[in-house]
Amino acid sequence: MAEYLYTKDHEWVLQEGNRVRVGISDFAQSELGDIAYVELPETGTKVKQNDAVCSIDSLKSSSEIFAPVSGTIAETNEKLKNEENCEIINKDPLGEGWIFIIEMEDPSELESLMNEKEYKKMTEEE
Amino acid sequence: MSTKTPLYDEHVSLKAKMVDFHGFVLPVLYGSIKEEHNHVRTKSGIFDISHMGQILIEGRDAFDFIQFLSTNDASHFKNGQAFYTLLCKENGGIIDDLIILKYNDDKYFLVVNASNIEKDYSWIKKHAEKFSSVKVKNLSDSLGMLALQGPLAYEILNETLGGGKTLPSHFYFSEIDFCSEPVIVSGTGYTGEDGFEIIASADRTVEIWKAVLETAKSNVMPCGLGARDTLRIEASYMLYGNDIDEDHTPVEAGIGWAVKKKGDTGYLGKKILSEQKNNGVKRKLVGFKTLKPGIPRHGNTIVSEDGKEAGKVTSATYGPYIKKTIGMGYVIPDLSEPGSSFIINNNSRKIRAEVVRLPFYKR
Repeated sequence: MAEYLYTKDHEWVLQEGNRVRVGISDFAQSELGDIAYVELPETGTKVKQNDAVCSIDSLKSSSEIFAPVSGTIAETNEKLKNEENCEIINKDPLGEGWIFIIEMEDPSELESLMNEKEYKKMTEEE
Repeated sequence: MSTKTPLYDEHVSLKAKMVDFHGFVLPVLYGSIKEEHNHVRTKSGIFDISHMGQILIEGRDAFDFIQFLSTNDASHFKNGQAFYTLLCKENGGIIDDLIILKYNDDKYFLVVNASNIEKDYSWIKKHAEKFSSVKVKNLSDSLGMLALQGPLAYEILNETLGGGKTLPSHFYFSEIDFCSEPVIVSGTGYTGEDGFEIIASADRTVEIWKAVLETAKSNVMPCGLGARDTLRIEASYMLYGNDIDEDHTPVEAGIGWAVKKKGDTGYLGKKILSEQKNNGVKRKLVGFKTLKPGIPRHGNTIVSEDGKEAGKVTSATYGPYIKKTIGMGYVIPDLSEPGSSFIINNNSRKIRAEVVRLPFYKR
């Protein structure tokens, strides 16, 4: 079973073959508060690891989502196009609230990410 | 050093997320801003606003003094009425916006912004020297304050206070006994809903808070500063420090209705404000909704469609009840008519917005 991997910028990654599904962590959604808008990237866009891919707005603040790995945006969560649905990120950040899928260029980049235990340790230290 | 309000322990036991707001520790939210916001629009919400300041002006010259100090015309209001007004400098810049409760010509009770308590108090004291018979008292430290807002507010407060009381209507106030102590109940608020603001001693503030939650159960929700902000933006109320300040005048801010008409007695700022009312202003506060989504933020610059500098965003949010991204900002007169559009620079994003009539939400 694939496990959730995390970046230091609070994205999560779930490997599905040569693709990864990406979202923001439960910690991130609770820090941001009510998500009100997600600017989804265009599918087909090429991204490099750590590039800013899109922005996400909560009622309190705006932040950016970075690419956990290099590759091509293969899919985005169409539900998030409607602002009224953005609350799924708060309600189910690791499931229904996923944001985009990247077709990976170099799966070895996954090794640079944290596992759940390491990520949890990082957020507790913050 | 942050001051705890009388309700601090209540907020902590409700697991509120606390923040520092102008030197007060206050809840920003208890769970979700969106849920708190919509609960106020559909049922009711209770807010700790003990950070607000209270200044009492009393004496034989109180009426003349209020007429000199503030822009709205106190003679238009009866005893027992509350009114919105502004303290302005000679140059028209806004010292503060406030609600004044008029007891009678000799007694006025001012409710001022937390961020301006000290500034207002010294401003008022300074000008009081020219009036022989006025006393000014800053009561802010000894009083707590709550707001109960929403369509169920009347019913809930009536029941909490023991039933059968006549509660003040919109923009009226009265003193009502609660546990054998008079508390001020004012038919005012900052949400765009009907409701009340209640001013009481620290102990009574806590008792009323608990009694309201106990009485109303799921019909009331404790609400934090987050929802207070999104609600007031939907209702297009000014926030001092964001939408208005000493560098802007009430006429520019579109609240010229709270400035006395021509021919009235002299008051601070009159010269400039009458001139601006007659001749117009170089920038105006407008409301906008965004065309391409993304939430602009306070301080973002506004440019015309052809890239010329045109103004600044003062407040913006996604409106959880009206379900639109909205905001306010100062723009040049050419772009101030409803239907005009402009571009907001938000970090690397360019958000297109269109001017709409205020308020965004009206009950």
